[in-house]
Amino acid sequence: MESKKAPVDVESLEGRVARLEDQTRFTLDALELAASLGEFEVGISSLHEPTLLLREVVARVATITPFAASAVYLVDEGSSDFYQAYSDRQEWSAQIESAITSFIDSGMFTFALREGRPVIVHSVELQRRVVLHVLETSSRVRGMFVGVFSEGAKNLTAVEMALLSIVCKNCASAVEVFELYKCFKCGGEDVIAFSDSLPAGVVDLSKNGRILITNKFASKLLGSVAAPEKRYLTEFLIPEERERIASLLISCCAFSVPEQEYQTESLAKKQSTMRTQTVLDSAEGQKNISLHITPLQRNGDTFLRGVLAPMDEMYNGAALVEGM
Amino acid sequence: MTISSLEIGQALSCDVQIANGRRLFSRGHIVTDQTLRVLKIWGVQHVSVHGTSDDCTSNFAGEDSSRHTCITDSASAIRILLRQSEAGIFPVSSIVEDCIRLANVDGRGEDGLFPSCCEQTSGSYQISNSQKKIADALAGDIQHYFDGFPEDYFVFVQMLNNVYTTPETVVAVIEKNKRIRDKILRICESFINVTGCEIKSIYSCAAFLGNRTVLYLAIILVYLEHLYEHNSSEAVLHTAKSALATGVAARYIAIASGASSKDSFFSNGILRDVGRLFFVRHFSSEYNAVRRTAAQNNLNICTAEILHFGMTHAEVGGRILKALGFPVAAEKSVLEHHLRFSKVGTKEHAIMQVAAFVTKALFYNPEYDTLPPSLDSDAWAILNITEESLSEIMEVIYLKSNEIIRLVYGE
Repeated sequence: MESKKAPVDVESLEGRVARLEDQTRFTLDALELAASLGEFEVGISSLHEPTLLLREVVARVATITPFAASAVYLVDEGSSDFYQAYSDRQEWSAQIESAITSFIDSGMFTFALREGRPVIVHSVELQRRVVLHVLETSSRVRGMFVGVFSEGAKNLTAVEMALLSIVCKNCASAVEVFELYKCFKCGGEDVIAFSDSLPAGVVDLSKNGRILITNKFASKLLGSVAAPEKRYLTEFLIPEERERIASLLISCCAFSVPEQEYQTESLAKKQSTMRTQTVLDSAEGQKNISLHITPLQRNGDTFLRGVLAPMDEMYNGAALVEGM
Repeated sequence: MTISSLEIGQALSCDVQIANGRRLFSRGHIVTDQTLRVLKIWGVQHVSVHGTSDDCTSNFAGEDSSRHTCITDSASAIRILLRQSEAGIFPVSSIVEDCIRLANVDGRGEDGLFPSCCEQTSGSYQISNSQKKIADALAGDIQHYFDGFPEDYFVFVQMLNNVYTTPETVVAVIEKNKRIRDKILRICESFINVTGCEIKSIYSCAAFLGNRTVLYLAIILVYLEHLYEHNSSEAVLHTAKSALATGVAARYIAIASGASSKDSFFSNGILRDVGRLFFVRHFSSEYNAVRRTAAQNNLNICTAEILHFGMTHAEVGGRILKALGFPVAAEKSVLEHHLRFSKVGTKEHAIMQVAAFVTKALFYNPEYDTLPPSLDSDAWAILNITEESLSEIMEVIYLKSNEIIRLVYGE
């Protein structure tokens, strides 16, 4: 290959060294920038909608190359359609929307969706060059970044394109985390709202009997608002019941029910729910309750869900202790 | 029914699900304006609607669930190939039938379809003096084999490593070579395939496909053109065409499996067997002997290459790319291309292995080819390709490969 090049002299070698030094500097700068592009300042778990996150993404992109206008489209998970979730220049929003509709009709949007890298196209509607970059994780397409070039702006170098891809990849991951948090929070809120509507006490306990969540009825029954210093279910019981119930909770967690203490009901399928009667020591005095305990799994962790029903409100309180 | 003939108010008779598993619409969904927009966004070409000849509730009801099953081994992939071949969608090579035969006799617990090509096995073969000379030549300076190559070739390779390369600089160098320029335009047009989008300049190619894809394309075209002018033997031609098909296959499999940085797959696919092309070109008769040794002694091709030349075509390919100044990622991809998936474990490696599998299935020629490497089930599993999407990909790969080969060789 050397034979193909111009004769080697000091001047050409010096020029080459200068170019290589320049490239090395550029590469180090690019690596530093790349390292900083992955972290978003916004606390994703506390967001109710992703605008703040997307604004930061657009700001990060601007550190790579300034665009005349930027917008982020996200996938509506219900309809699988794309909607404009953020635009840093509102006056451009309608035109960008129109350009995107045109890209969808021509198939250019699909092309950009599949490429997974920056695709630069000319938009008739915007009369500008536009860069499209899909926001994609390994499991899902989450959206599309749209950057409108300024008039006469230089094109992106390969390194700048790679940096843009890094930001878009991180943005997609952040959006995915946001969506998952949203699902998680919605799921939790649904369970709490549902349990609050029940005419029975619902209490989630850790494996050692510490109270995690109570619904409104359980709080009232336990008087836990009046006695916030109590943290374990057994602390709400009369002293002579505490050891027995603590033992029951341990047994319930381990799925080993002592047969001499808990009789098995003739159900078709074995269950791990245990039922017993116990006595609460509340501010309103002692109260007999029926306690149902079921071990459950949540995010890989075992916890106990207890249902507390006052005996005086039950029409059948015959069975003392039952367990399956 | 094609999307363009779909009318608002019609009811879908099948679920519409795309390659990454996203379900767009369920059976019974009534088509609206938004339905058409969503179908266009995700590039869905066909759907089934109630009351038409392609109503899947009447025609494909039994197949509906299996179409969305992910492929986890080569046997499933081969069954799909055979089914499509029997339906006349595209022909498959003789190796597909051989695979079935090998699967029946081979009890090695893998797919059992292709013999392995990555582990070296010991053998007591005598190396002749001429083989020793070749081995010494390969171990020395390999660069001089490329001395007669056109200047453009080296200019393009140097640009690959230049961090300041922009579409403008790519355009500037490629525009100087009109023949290469015209070929690139036609190939890019074939890849992009967007309604009303005519690719008129190299600038458009770089904007749509990326600078590096265009540069790699230019390098490969100059390389193949040079080979064609200086050694147009059938063996070289077949190896070069297979390389192009592997590149096309890698690109479309990468798209279907949602891999990132898809622009490198086309070039890595083409460069994959650059070492074999080197052997076929410079040591044609000796390489035939390697193939014979492998076939007669039931050896994998890598073992036979080591016995004859002292190194495998993967090692030679890696050394060539390093000597010519190709990026490290390309060199690594070529160097590792015969390692088992379990030893590398990346999605990129899985894509390249499946691409080689697909290419062999479509274009294998027993006169020039060697059997492809065995394919770990995990390689299929990581790609998450459904039977339906593989059927679609195979058809696209077959058509596009032939089209690209025609464009490259002006056939």
